[in-house]
This record gives sequence, structure tokens and C-alpha cells, in this order.
Amino acid sequence: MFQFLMRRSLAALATIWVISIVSFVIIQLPPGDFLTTYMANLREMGERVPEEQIAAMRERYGLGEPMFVQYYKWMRGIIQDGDFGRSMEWGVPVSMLLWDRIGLTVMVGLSSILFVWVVAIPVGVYSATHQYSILDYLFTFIGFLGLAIPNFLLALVLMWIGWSVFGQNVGGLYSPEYSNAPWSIGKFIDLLSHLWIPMLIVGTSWTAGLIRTMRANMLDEINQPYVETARAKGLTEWRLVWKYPVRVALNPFISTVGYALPQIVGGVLITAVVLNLPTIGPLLLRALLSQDMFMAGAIVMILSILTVIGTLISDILLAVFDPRIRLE
Amino acid sequence: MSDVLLEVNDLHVSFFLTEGIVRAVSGVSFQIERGKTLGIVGESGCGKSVTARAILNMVRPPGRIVSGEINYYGQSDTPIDLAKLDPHGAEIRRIRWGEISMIFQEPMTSLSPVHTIGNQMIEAIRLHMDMSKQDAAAHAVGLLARVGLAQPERLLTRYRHELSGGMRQRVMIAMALSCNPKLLIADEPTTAVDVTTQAQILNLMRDLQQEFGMAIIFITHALGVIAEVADHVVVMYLGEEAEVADVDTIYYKAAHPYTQALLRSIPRHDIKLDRLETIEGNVPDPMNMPDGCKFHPRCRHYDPGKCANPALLQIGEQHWSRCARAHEINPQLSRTEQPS
Ligand SMILES: Nc1ncnc2c1ncn2[C@@H]1O[C@H](COP(=O)(O)OP(=O)(O)OP(=O)(O)O)[C@@H](O)[C@H]1O
Ligand SMILES: [Mg+2]
Repeated sequence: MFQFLMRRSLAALATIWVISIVSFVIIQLPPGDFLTTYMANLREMGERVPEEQIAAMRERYGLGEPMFVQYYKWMRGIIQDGDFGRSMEWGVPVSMLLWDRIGLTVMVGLSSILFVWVVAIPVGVYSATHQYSILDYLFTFIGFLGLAIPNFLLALVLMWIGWSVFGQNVGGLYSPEYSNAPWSIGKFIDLLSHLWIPMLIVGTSWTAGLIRTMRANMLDEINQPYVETARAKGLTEWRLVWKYPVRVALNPFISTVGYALPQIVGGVLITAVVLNLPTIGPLLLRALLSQDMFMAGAIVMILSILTVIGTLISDILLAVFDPRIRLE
Repeated sequence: MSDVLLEVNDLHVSFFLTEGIVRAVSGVSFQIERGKTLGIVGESGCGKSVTARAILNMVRPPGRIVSGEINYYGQSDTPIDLAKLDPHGAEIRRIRWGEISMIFQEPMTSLSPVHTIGNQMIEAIRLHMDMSKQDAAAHAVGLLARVGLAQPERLLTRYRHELSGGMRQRVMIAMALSCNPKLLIADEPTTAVDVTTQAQILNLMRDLQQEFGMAIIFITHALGVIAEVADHVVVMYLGEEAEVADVDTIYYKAAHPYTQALLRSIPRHDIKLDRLETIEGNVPDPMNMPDGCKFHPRCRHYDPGKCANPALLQIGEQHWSRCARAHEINPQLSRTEQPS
């Protein structure tokens, strides 16, 4: 097990290294260095930047020096000070804008996963064990409906419902009075009261897909001889289904935990724009549109790293849950 | 208490599919005596496994037991009709494994891929016997040792993929005996293992039967194996019994063309043949059974005038055949055994 952990962690580190290079290339893609663009932007707005500051930044990011020196300085900044460079558009360090939003993105992501699992697994199990029953057909129907309705539409509808029925302004993740307040119990509760809408929106289409997967996995397992053995032992149907086939059918789920995060960031993008969520998706979209390359590079890099970490976690979970894995 | 442990009367099991009804078992009757071995033999698809599942009332939708009785004389002379019990009820769940246990056809996948051997054995033991976890584990270790598995303590923490086919089948046997059943149903327990292992497992089961005293229903498609283990034999063809008798009668006085064909297709050291015969033709489509005698398309003795609708004929004291021409095709049957 220890060896397995070491091997996987090393592989993850190597992947992260490659990702950092790719992110760096993204930053370098637009013609000219970012400082020139930055200056041009500032001048357009009629501001003047002192020469010393420009020289300091030039030194800091190694501009004009060979590529690998620039890469080295960029990486050193990240590792030593968590400095991902400056956002040209916002005129502040990228890291200032990023952390809060990453936290919220992970929050929306995790709560959506939770929602999806809590709904999809029992429903999938029921559909499989009661194949072709009325409820099975009903779930299938609702599932396809969930898949077919675009997220942004659902977002608009839910916003409207939230506003007209609950009198709640459901855009964003906080009420105005909390948005700049420091963390407190009140702010957290306020966050939760806003979280259900993105959770539901991201959740529905995804839940529908997962119900299908769970149902199919279960149908594969439910007629296996080991289930028959369990039944012949005299276990109740409920106990044997949850102990044996569900356990095996869950394994493919565990292996996808790692991909959930980028999926959510991508999947939730339009929703996030519509709902005005302070998550990372809209930020990335804006950064790409305005060629705010340090920002875009940083986001791509952090998301990729989160994916690698997620995958590592799935691998480890799978090794813990599926004894067959450890062999290889 | 009577000698009869289980008595199956006119059992019908069908699968109701959208394409039609598959009558997997259509009117099977037999008896098993306490401590004896009954062999059920027949080609693939003739309904052996379905019969076995029906005994535990485990036929799953779209299939169900349509009619018939499965009388189980467990504790007393008043039988329980297993076919009438609620398949999810407490009564049948108590009987499953506690009184009648079963080894399934596929030893490779009969154990869970993600639970340890110990987990699965202890679960069964504690379900039916009042034992602490430690006692159950000790009981399991004893059984694993008894079926000839080395390092039984370590085996408790192993998974199915870590065992060979023969070991898995031994684990299944140990598990099946863990609650001292009165009847063990073994569905082709030796089909998936090599010949040496097959012989070992047959010997093991014979020894265990002496020791534990349970009755065995031994299901196989190989008549050759039956000779080594069974006291009585049911020969099945397309959901019906073709012939029922004790093992010697089946071997030496077979009175159904199907049994005779099966006999010709096994190698025997006492009869020299140039080549082994196979049975002509294929098993018919289960949705589309032949009319009249179900075996007639493949029968060399078929006579449209005589073979219209054969019933199970009693042709000896413990000998039944579903062939209208049983006496003609078997000259060994003595005149006195003929019905008047
Ligand atoms: N779940 C099911 N759905 C539909 N038909 C079934 C089902 N289970 C069994 N059958 C049908 O019942 C018949 C008997 O099947 P069964 O499994 O009892 O055969 P068997 O004698 O055990 O054969 P084998 O030697 O291959 O194990 C077959 O025609 C099969 O198609
Ligand atoms: Mg079978």
C-alpha cells in the first residue's frame, strides 16, 4: 500500500510539473510581453507608471530574459510567495482574486457532488431492482427531462421562483450585507441559503446521467452468482442488495470523483454567469476574453492541479475500496 | 419421522418474457431421502438449475413457480410446502442455508469480489446460528481446514481473486456446510475445474456426507459423474423427467431412448466402442417445444402411432420412464415388471 501511494504521488507530481509548463506556454501565447500590454492599457486610461516600478516588475518576472529563466522566476514566485503574477485587467495580483473564488468553487462543487450522490445512488438502485416498474419509468422520464433542460434555463427559472416565492434575491452566493463581511456564522448560513440553487442546477443534469450509470452498473451486478449466493444464505433482499451489488457498482463512481471538479467548473460556467456566482468559471471566461494571460494561466494551472489531486484521491479511495486493485 | 426429506410434486416453473413463455420446468416430481444423494442429469438448458432454485424458492421475475408442491420434511412429519412460502418471508430465509444450502454452478463468481472469505462465511454462520463473531470465525476456520484448505486462518482475510478455482469451490463447500444443513444442493460443482480437482472434490463431498449426514442433490450434465456419487437419478429432458430410477437401474436397465443415448456418449471401460456417440440433433428452442413426446425429433425409436403423448410410466418398483415404448426398447426389463 505504501509503495502504491508513493508511486501514485510521484506520478501526480510529475503531471503537475508538466501542467505548469503548459500553463506557462499559455501565458506566453499572446504577442509581446504582458508588461507592454499592461502599460499600454494604463496609458490609455491616462495613468502614469513610475519607471522604477516597471523596472522592478521586469526584474521580478524576468521579462526579456530567456524563456526558462522566465519560467523559473514565475515558478519561484508561485512556490515561495504564492504569487501567480498580476492581472492586467484588474491591476492587482492574481492570487488576491483567486483564493476566495477557488474556495467557493470547491464548495459549490462538493455540495453538488453530495446532492448528486445522495439522489442518484438510491434512485439508480431502486430503478435497477425494480426494473420496468412504474417508478423506474418515472425516474427515467424525469432523468431525461433533467438532461434535456439547459442549465441556464433552469437557473433563470429557479431565480424567478426564488425571488417571487421566497422573496429571496438568489443571484450570487451572499446577500449584499454579507458580501464583504468577514467570515461568521451568519455569513455561513447566508451562504448555505444561496447554495441550494447552483447545487440544484448543477445537480439535475448530472444526477440524471448518474442515475442511468448506476442503474446500468447495478443491472450488470444484480444477476451475478455472488448475489445469488447471498440470497441463498437467507439475507433479506434489502441487506443483500446494499451489501453486495451496490458495493461493486459504486466502484466506477469512486474513480470519477477526481473529474468532478473540472466538470463542475465547466458545466457550471453559464449557470455561474447567469446567477452571477463569484466562482472561478466566470473569472476564467473573462480572463480569456480580455487576454488577461497571467490570470488565465493561473486558473488553468490551479484547476489542473485540483484535478490531479482529485484523481489521486480517487485512486487511493479505489485501492481502499476495491481489493482487486492492489494486485497490479 | 419418515425417510423422505424432500418431495417435489408436479413442479412447473415458467419465465414470462415479452417474446413468449419459457416453460423451463414442466411437471417434475422426485423425492430425496435423508442422507442420500440424488443425481439430476441432463443437457444444458433442460431446467436443472431452475429446479434447484425453485427448491429454495429463489426463482426471480420474470420467472416464477406456476404450480406444484415442494414438501420439505424438516423437523417433523408435517411438511412445509416451500413453493407456497413468501419468497421474501422469514420462514424461507430461515430454511435457506440453515436447512438447505446450495453451491452454485459458477465457482469463479459465486463469492463476492470485494468481501473477504471470512466476512462472507461469518455472515452466513451468524445469520443462522447463535454465535459471537469470534466463535463464528473459529467455526469457519475449522470448516476450511476440514475441506482441505491450508492456512485456514489466513484464508479468512483473503479475497476471491486470490484463490484458484479448486480453492474457491472448497470454500463454497465449507460455507455451504457451515450451518449443518439437512440438504445440500450442488449445481454442477465440478464442471469448471480440471479432472484431478474434480475427483478430489467428489471424494471430499462423499466424505463430508458421511460425516455431516446431509442429503445431497447433485446436478450435472455428465452421467459418468453420477455413477460415482448418486443413489438415485433423475434424467431430465426439456423441463420434464425422462427417466427416474436408482443408479444401477439407470446404468443397466435404462428404459428411455434419451438415457440410452446419454449412456452411449460416456466413455466406459467395460464396453469397447470404436468411437463415442453424440446425441443427434440439438436441444430445441425453449419457446418452441416439439408437440407430443419432446424427444421425438431426436429419437431413433420414434413411431408416430405409438408416441403421441407419453406420460411418466412406472415400469419397475422404483423405476419410471416417459417413453411409450419403454418395454420394446429395453428387452432387459423382465416380463413380470410389465403392467397388465
Ligand atoms: N432468468 C431467465 N429468464 C428467461 N429464461 C430463463 C431464465 N433462467 C432460465 N431460463 C430458461 O430456463 C431453461 C432452463 O434453464 P436452466 O438454467 O435450468 O438450465 P440447466 O439445465 O441448468 O442448464 P446448464 O447445464 O447449462 O446449467 C432454459 O431454457 C433457459 O433459457
Ligand atoms: Mg444450470
